[in-house]
Amino acid sequence: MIEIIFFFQRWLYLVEEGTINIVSHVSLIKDPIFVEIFNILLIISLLFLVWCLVRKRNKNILLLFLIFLGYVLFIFFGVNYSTYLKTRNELEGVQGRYLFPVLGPLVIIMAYSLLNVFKNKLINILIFCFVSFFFIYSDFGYFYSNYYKWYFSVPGLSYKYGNVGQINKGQSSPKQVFSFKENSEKNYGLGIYISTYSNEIKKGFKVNLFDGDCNKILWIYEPKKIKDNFYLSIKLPNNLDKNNNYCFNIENDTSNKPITVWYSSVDLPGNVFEEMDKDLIYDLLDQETTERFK
Amino acid sequence: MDRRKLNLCLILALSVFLIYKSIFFNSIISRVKQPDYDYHSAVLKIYKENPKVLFFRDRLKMQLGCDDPIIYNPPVSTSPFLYYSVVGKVWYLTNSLKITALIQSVFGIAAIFYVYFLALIVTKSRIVSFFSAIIMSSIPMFSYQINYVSYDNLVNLASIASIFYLMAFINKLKIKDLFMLFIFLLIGILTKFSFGPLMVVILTILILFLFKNFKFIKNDIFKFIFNVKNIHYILVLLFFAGLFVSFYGRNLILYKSLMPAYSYNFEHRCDL
Repeated sequence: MIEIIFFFQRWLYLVEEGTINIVSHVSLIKDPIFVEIFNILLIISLLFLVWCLVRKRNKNILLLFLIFLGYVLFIFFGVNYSTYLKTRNELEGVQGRYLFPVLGPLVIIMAYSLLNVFKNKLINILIFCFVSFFFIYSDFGYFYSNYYKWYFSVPGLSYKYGNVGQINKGQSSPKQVFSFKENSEKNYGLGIYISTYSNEIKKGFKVNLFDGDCNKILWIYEPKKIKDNFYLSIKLPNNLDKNNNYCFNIENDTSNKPITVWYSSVDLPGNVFEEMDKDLIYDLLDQETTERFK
Repeated sequence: MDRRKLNLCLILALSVFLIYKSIFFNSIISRVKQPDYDYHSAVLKIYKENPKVLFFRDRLKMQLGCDDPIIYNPPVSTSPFLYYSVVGKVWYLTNSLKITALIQSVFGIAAIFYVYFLALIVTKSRIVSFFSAIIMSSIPMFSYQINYVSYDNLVNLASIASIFYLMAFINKLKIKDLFMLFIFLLIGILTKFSFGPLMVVILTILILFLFKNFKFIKNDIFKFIFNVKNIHYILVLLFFAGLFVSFYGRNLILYKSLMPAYSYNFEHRCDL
């Protein structure tokens, strides 16, 4: 029983994560505040659904709920939980999109419940406006203002792979050699995924660009701010020779707040998503696109 | 402005927004892959290169070389084929994967409109229906996925359409809705095997409903069948039913399973 509860919690988290974010080979995971608001709306909807069903006895809504529940129970017990018992891997076959066949009924139940919480028409219009704005912004609005970070995570540079560890004050990440994509005519930049364990860091870090032997510093970039779970987009100088190797590292010059570094190869399927809990993913972007969205 | 016009304007605005999103996704971030992109596009390509094939009756006609980099799991010849067969033909005709991806956004947008009409039947409220359509079109993973090649788009459409016609039939007792329900159930199960559980849930509800109400509608069913005006419903249903029987029947007889398990040598031919 405890095992089912444990798996159900994990399953619920993964399904929700894979529905209200974009979870793919390269994922776009939203800030936790969006998930919290979504959870509140969902809980209000489900609580009110029970009340609605008892009070108003809307048979159609009950039927929709039965269709939703029947399918979800089948997927949960018949597919996901049985797979988990065999493999002991809670990620195996659990995806938010696998519940999309019954997403429509869930959405209708949610809309119906939210617009029936209050009898006052004006309040309902306000709920309609607020929730619509929340959904539209948290989908296309959020995507539109963040997609360049996501877009940049498509491989264009090649680099090595390795776990680096925490960078405390006075420390640097190991120097990382990278090369430009073969036959590329574009100028490239560097996109770096960072986690900080704290709030915004405004100074103390710098990114050093070295020659291919990692000896001579060619260029230094000092980010104006580093946030938690943040893509730092760095435009590389235009005069780099595409045929040469280069090298970079991140140096904690004066900050008492550490960051942790993770080198990752994003061209492995699912890698960016899987490593999101780790700390730093070296990523890439092309300059042409950067300039377009500056 | 009266309510009907306002509603029309809102639907129009939502449509324009969805089309814009679709074009945006396809044109600007086409490099980002949706889940299982390699598999879906590889299978689509097989159907594109064999435009006369509805589904592969003989797995050896697949012509997959030993060195093919895609792992065809599930196997192409014995897995539900409808999405690949239809969209593969679109790709063949347009000769552009981008246009093909754009065209298949129609499945997703149609699914959103089915949500709107389903909500209208269930709640009888236009504001709830429109609210449902807005939420549905703004679920990030859904609104992202409907822009890329994936059989999930057709199966999601079949799912929501099936639920819509089930509810429409239960509420209005129109036989046309019953036929449409069966057509979309067959489309779903010919597109993706995991549509099966939903099909079972829907059929269970339908059988329970018919068990109670059959005496009231049996005459209507016969009238509908023998009315020449409804011939197209019957022909389309027979077409999909024929595909269902020939495809899953073949799997059962030849491979003793509705969905034969994958092994590398199943379709790959090393003599190519």
